[in-house]
Amino acid sequence: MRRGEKRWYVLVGLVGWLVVSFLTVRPVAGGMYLDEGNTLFFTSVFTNQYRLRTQNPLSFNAKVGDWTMMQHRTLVDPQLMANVLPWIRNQRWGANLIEGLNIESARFFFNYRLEYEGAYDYGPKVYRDDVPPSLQKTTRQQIFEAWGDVRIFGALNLRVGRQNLSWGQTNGFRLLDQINPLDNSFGGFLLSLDERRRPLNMVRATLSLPTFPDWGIYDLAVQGFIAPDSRLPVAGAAPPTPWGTGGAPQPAESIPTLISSIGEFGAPTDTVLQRPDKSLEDSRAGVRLLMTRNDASFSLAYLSTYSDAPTVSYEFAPNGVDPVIKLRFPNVQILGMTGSMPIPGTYAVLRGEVAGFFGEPFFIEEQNFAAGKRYPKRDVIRGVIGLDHAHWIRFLNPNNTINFGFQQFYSNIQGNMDGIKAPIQEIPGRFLDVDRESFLTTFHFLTVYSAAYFKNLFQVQPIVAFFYDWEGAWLFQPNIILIRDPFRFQMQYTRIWGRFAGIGTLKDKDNLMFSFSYLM
Amino acid sequence: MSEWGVAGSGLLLGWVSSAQGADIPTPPELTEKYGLSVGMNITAESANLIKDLVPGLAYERTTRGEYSFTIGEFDPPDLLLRPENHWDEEFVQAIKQNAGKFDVDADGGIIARSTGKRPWPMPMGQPFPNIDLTEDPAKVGAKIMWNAKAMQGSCGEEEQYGALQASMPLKGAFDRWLTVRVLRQRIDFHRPPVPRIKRPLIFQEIFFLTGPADSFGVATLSWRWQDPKKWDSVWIYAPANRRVFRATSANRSDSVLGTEFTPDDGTPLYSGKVEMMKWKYIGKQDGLLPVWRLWGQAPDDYVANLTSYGEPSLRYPHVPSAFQRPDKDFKSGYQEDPQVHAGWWNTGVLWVPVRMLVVEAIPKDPYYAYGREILWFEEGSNTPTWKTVFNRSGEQWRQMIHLFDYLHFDTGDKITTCFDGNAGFFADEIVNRGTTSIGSGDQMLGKPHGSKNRRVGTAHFNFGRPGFDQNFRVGRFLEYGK
Repeated sequence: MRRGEKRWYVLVGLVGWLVVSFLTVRPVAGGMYLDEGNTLFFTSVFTNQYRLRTQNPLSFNAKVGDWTMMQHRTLVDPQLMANVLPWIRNQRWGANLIEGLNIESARFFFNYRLEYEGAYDYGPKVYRDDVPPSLQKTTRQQIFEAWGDVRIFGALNLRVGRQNLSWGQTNGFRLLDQINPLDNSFGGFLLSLDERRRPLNMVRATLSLPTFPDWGIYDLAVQGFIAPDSRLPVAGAAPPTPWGTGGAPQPAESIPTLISSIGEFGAPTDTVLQRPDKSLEDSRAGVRLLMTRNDASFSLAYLSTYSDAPTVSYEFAPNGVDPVIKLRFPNVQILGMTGSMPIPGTYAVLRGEVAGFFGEPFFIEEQNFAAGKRYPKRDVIRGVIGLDHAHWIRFLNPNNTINFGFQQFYSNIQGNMDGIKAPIQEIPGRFLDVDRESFLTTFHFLTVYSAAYFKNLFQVQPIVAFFYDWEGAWLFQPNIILIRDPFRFQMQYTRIWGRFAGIGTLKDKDNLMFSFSYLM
Repeated sequence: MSEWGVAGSGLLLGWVSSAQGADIPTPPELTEKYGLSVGMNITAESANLIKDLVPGLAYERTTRGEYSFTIGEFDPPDLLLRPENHWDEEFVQAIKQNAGKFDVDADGGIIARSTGKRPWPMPMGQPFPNIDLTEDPAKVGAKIMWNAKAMQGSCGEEEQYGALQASMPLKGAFDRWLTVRVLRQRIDFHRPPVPRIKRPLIFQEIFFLTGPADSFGVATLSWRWQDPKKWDSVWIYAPANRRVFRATSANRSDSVLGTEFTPDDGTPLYSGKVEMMKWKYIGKQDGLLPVWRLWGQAPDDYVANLTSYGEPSLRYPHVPSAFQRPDKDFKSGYQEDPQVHAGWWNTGVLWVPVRMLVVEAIPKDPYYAYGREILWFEEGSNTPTWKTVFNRSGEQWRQMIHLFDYLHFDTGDKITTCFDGNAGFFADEIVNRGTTSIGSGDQMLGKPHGSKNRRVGTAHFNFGRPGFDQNFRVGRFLEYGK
């Protein structure tokens, strides 16, 4: 096939697959047990999502018109949960093993994910012509999770395998939730966090500890993990992909220190991603203590992980001669705590989280692009306070409460701020400012309406999200989800505006999304 | 829509002692009194016969042909009038031993007469076997509800697979459903040996959603405290976030996923905390008590098998005390062709005329969705049956019926009885939709009795498994997510 030719066959194949799929599915489905003993449970999600750009792109992004395809994503997400305790019991040694280890449960979970992005095959021509083939990510398939899980000795749970683990109390944004890296390159930042997580090979253990009811401590547990895995976060693909947000060193010719280094030592011969080894030394690891005292839940956590945001630097390859651009994800130590409790007598839950991030990488153009200089590190204190409230507004919805969620994030960079910038250029040569303190406010509400109000065709779930980045940027995202099992149809509009800072760096991504899902 | 009226015909106002069925009419007497006969099918044409035996809204639906009732009988006829007819020996003795020991306080909380304090945990058995109906109606109402709560303790620990709730319009198939796995442990009223739990709880429960797929992995954990003033503690695991969040238990009157069912509508008719309501005994009422036919029961067999025997569990064949419910004769309106009945109405049910006690419940929480509830309990056993819900404007909102079993389990050396709900039909009378909730969900998901790989309604009682209460620890809850 000639480069640039529209790959319509892919669309034809997709439509054909859809038609066949919907002719063969039962109107009422349900996850199913695959065996008579009800030990193998299978379920699946099929989602087709079409996103239409509603504005022209800015800065370095591919020049496409508004009201053109931004995304046409297909997700197939089959999941299998197996209760393997009966199988163990049937082995010759099984009964003794179960008795000896006091095995209460033994499970295996397998989750394969297949994603296909059609924008590069039959979307705007510029995505085929201008986006380098290496950035045209049309398919991604992965074993999203595959783990075994056993509970032994009446108190210890072990989960081994490829998995995701999340700590903290936040929604939508991550604070203490820094264990699994994120992949923002496939499908962009508007996908749910769960669809962007990169699972890690991990061993995790949860041990129930004795409780102290006399002190009001009704639950105490410790959880630890170690993940010897080299997977790193993947940032949103650079321009000219549909999700590109610009960034250093593009365009390199507008960065004085880099130009100076190139003049002295030569142009970088390669871009090197510095990743951890699959060794114990480089493993992500952490431990947390969980406690429920009276009606409040607390946790105290420590973890050693890798930063979500890399720093970029001009360095020499191991041979000491060839200059390279190095993307570094240095190790970060995090110590934090969380708390949550219902506010007595109300329909509200208060939650909070505070953590210190030690040794986080930053960017100072004069240091990062000067050969031989160390990139800067700073400690950062981050916190969030959240309030979730369910409220009856009966004239709006007599059957269900309306749920309101509010979060206030705060971040404070410690130490000297001179020269610290974000490695993203708004215009050539001008890197974004980084403030010592930053604030982000999120607010959302949602409810669900009985299908009776819609001629019994579907339930309607409106969700509205609003983010305000105090640097001067806003996100407004109304959603309507139509629910008729086993189908979901979602319409979502995303509007981002304000300064080119924080979430405002994504302000040329306004779009309208339609999503259709079939659920087992 | 007719207004519910406590002074309506058939409601026999009078303060008469129940005294374990001494003066309670038997089903045959009531069958004759109302001109009914066993095997009679009450349809729109004959609806007048049951006008005084069902709540007004159910009667109206009957006149429109949306509901019908097949009259059944108990064997023996006084099945519910004598505890030994439907309970095991151990439970009968416990009821006797509880006589005169307990009372309720001004909040509706249960107290020991000897100390004036709330015992914890409450011993097995109904705490008020001989309710004096001439007492303060507030006390009588609370005692009846406590009796119903105590019946559930007979099951001890419980693990259920394959329960399903499905919401649907009057005509047509269901369009919203969820399947759940449930773990429950009752500490109050537990059959000995009573779990040695350090948290001062009376009940703990975990719900795992298994379908539809976007709900797979969602789980909730609830602790119900012995402290009468303290709301439940609730945690939610959401796979989308992969985290355990605290939740408020306050909105227990919120519809579950937009269906016609709320968390407080569960077994036994009101599944919230007794002290959260103001109770009031209103009077007596003759009514129809539902019992689901067993699968395979002959069409001309109208015996209402309320005390059928559980089957050995397919899921836990190695656990001698694990049983599963026998399948029921599932015949829902939406399956009919052409459809005659309301989608959620089930014609595989037999209805037995019994004497009921009528109790009113008014929520103390000013934000509770319901303004008032009227609950019917069979007089001799306090078996819950009908519930009518009013909204805060006083309008009749929901009409629901619960179906229960006194399941018998034969463990070789003895028979043990477990009282638990197996289904409920919940009609929203304002928007004309309904929800069916049943224990064996695959009967609704197109996998009828005998089909392979069918999820079965499994009920375990008294596991006797050491450390079962460990399942309900928050730390352990972290393990459950997918």
